[in-house]
Amino acid sequence: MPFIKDILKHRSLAVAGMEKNTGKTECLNYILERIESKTLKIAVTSIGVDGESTDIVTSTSKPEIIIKEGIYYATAEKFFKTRELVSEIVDLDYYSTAAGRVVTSLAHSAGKVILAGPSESSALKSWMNRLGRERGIEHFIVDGALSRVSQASPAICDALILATGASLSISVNTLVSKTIHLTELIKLPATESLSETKADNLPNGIYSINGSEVVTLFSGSVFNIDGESLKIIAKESSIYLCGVLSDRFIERVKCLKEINIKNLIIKDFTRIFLSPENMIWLDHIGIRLEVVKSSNLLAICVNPVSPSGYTLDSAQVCDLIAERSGIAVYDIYRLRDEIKKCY
Amino acid sequence: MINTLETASPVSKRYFLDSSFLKDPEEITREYSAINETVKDIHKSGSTVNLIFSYISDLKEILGTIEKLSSGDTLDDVELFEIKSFAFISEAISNSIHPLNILIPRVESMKQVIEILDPDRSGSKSFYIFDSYSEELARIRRELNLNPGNTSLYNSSLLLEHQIRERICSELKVFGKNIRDNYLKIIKLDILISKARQIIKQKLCIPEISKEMISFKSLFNPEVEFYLLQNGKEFQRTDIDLTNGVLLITGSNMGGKSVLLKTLALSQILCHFTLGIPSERAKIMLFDSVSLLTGDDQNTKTGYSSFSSEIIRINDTICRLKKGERLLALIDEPARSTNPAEGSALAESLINILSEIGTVSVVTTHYSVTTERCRRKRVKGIIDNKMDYSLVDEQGYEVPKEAINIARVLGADNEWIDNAEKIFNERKHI
Repeated sequence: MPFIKDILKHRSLAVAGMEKNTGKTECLNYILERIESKTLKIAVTSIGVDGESTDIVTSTSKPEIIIKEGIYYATAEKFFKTRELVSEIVDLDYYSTAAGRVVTSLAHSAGKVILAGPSESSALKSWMNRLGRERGIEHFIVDGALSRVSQASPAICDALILATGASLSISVNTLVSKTIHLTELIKLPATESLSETKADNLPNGIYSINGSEVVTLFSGSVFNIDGESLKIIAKESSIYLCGVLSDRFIERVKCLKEINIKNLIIKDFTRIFLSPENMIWLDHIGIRLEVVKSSNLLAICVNPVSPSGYTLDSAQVCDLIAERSGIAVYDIYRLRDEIKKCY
Repeated sequence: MINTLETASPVSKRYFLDSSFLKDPEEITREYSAINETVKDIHKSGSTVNLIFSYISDLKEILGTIEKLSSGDTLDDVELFEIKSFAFISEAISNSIHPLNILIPRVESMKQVIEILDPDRSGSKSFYIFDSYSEELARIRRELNLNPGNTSLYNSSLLLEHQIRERICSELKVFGKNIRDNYLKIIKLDILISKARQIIKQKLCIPEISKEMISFKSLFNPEVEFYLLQNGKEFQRTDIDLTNGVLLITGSNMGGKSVLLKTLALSQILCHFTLGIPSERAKIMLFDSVSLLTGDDQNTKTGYSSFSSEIIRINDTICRLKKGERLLALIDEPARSTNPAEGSALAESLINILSEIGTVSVVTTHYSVTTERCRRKRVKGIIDNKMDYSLVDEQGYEVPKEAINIARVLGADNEWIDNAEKIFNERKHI
């Protein structure tokens, strides 16, 4: 029973897919099937709509989310009306999704559901806090939907499981390198120079960090930074970039004569949009990337089958990713077979 | 002021924003007495008020659901959950409200509603069609657990659930009016507590409703004071009395005349919405409306100049007054944007008309207006290079000539100001 006991070490877990059809739902079902729901209080939600039986985009069949008795689940009012299990409503969130208010209920029987909870970070945070406080829920499992790696932000969840697979690329090399690239971003170390609370209060811009002193060097969107400000920034040794770190920004830094930056701090890995080449360049000139909120990557799940039916060599992909990332990698198909055996 | 009114539930804030401009003195007095008692209760039994306030924070907009229930419709589980949650909030408030003053709305107990929706007496606000509603349902559900996917069993369970919902709703229907009354009482209570809290927090006062005068002791503008305090400065408070007739205020530029008019308008409106008044003591007369004419409405798009738009607005006020509307007229520098000869004539004539009509009005001006038909006050002005904003009685017709001095204090170009002073002095001698 891989990674289940690791999940229980954390209050919240996000299951994020790098692409559609990477087996995220399979992975979620695997967890929900195995997790102990009689003694532990567990709530599951999705930051998008998930659990529909046919994929809207590719028209291929999709696994449905199966909830067993004793699990709390969040769904929108519209989907709650179509539930097929006995559910006790425990919370009604007036934060609305496109399909109505969010209804959280406790399953009194097993059944299939469509998950749809709060999709904004702040609403999700307050939902988790409220259920924790009022219902004593100890563990939250958050399903990220449709290439929304950025929404399953570690700013919300303490731990992460990444789903990757043939739908991302049917070339083993591309699939492995893309996955490894993201894994490296997720594994970026947490900074010691800036606390989360301090960073949360800063608006978009660039700041120099000197001990406990935070000085604003540039305010506003980093995309609009002017050449003069950039020169000043490059002279500092430790800077916090609040916003998105893009390839364009790095290309402009590359052109400067004088670069003293040693530490470049970003809020979390979802704010980094850098090519592997630029990552290597940063490493080469001695700029260390750090994040304010680091993520705990528990496992990587691979779906070797693409939506068009092409199947990759599962063992090869898993081994390559595991070897290069140092993270446990599981084939979603093998897990699926295990689930089938249980029924 | 509206933004700083912090209700426990956003629902109450919406109700407050939808509330009307009160004109009935008895209603306003009654409302203020309740607020006054709430202020006392906060000082006396603050923890009870805080507790009630925290219960109210869970209140959600459910009037639609209540109406649906009262009209005899069958509610779904989500709606029944809303009613049940509300009944628990009511019960909690009703159990803790006893120490508070009798003027504060009495939220009633919802025990019977809770009994219907909590058949297991679990005390939890969660809801579904509980097994205990029907033995048969419990039996079918047990069978379903043993045979998951049995459609006929599942369908009969759904049918049974629906019948139970119908039964519950018909039992609840008789309480529809009580639930609705309680809901509105809780909203009223929330608004009351938040008004009282605002009065304490911002050091506002509860006014006395008067028939013949408006009087403020230490009136202040909360917004201006807030910004001054942020910059380490203090707001100089003003005492002012108004009766029927015109009060003409003169004084140098930057003497706080416009701020005073805006603060008077604000206080008047706050009173009609029974909010605290930004002063130490206040007596307020009631009006149908407040007419505050200040600022420049020049609009190049509609082709109105500063002058024309001002004349249109003043004229509107005069017409409304002539029709018998009871207005508090606050007019900042009428006819300021035209030549002083005609401008002062327009201003003087306006004062005469306002005085004739007899409503309470305040007019400010830089013109030397000679009419006798108004009381006169003057902003003290610059003393030892410092502005004194207090109002003093003024006997003569002359207005202060401090504009050049103030322009100099503001750091305007020396050549410009020196030359202006020279021209001004030469003209004085002619």
